[in-house]
Amino acid sequence: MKKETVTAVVFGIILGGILAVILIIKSRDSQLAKNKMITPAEKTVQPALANNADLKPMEIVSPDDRTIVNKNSITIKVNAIKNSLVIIQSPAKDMVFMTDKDQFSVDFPLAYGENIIRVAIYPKDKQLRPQEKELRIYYFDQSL
Amino acid sequence: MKKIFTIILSIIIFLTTVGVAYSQTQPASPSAGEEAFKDKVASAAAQYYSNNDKAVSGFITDISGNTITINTSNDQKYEIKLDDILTKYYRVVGNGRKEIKLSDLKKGDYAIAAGVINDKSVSANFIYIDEAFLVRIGKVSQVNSDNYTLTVVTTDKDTYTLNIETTTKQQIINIKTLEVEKAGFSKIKVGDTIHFVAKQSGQETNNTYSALKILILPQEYFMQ
Repeated sequence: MKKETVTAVVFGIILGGILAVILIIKSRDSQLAKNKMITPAEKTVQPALANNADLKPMEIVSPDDRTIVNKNSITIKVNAIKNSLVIIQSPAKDMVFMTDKDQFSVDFPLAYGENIIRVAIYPKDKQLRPQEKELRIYYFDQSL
Repeated sequence: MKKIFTIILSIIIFLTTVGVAYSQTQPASPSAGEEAFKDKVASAAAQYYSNNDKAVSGFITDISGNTITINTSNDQKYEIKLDDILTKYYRVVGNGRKEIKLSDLKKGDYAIAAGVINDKSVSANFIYIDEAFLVRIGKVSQVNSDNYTLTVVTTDKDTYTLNIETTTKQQIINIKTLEVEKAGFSKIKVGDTIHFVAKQSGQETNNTYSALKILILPQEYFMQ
């Protein structure tokens, strides 16, 4: 191979290599910026919308319907309406209380086998509709 | 001439090196088909794992070979596949269970099937035979003191007739203290809200049930 050819090849590879390293570093930074959240997004403070919040439907956050558990009680978490009368009924237990928050959490006993649990809320504001939801929870002392 | 050749060759090699390096830094962009396939696999896996700690229950409507069919409370049919070796059968007795055999199952039993749920089919690991209950809320539309029955209309506009037996646990909510107190049939009025629990046999006619317990929320609560 002629001297000029060798020089050209070496020169080309060195220049290309330098640019390649720069490209790799730059592209890694841009990928990180796109995909990774280094710190959690700042929470946006929602303005209080009392009327809209009052109209929200009741939601059973946990447990999921038809869940199997292996202990004789369960924690029920519900997104409700502030200042509501809450009635939770199953064949095993009745529970009646007022909730002063828009979310509540109660430990509820389970009987062996199927537990049909009906959760009802009666908002203090009588113009708001009472709401109800049913949960089926299965308590067996074995895993699948 | 040699100089021109050297410069052109340098540029070609330079561009080739840069091109190869750049292509290595770019993630391969999957096609829409690959994306959809990946999503499908991920969602199937998620469903498989989330369904594994769940059960379905209903009255047995058919038993044939290694398959039973149940009808759930919301009128959905599930096909329960049984395995000669894997599937275990139990009857719920009090706060425990008693092992039974497949031959002990019969039409009309209330069965709970636990296993791998795939749409309307369950590959059952366990079958439990249990009692069926009805837990509902409704407004009292009629009180019949002659035969101790109540007619109750739910928010879904279903009408139930409840027989209040001597064994029925009757309770009322004190609207001032919100304490639950013992009550009698005479306390129930048209317009009251009733939370009730009844046993279900699956053979009821005209939505008539014997109430196991009732909890009365007097209509006065809504007038405060």
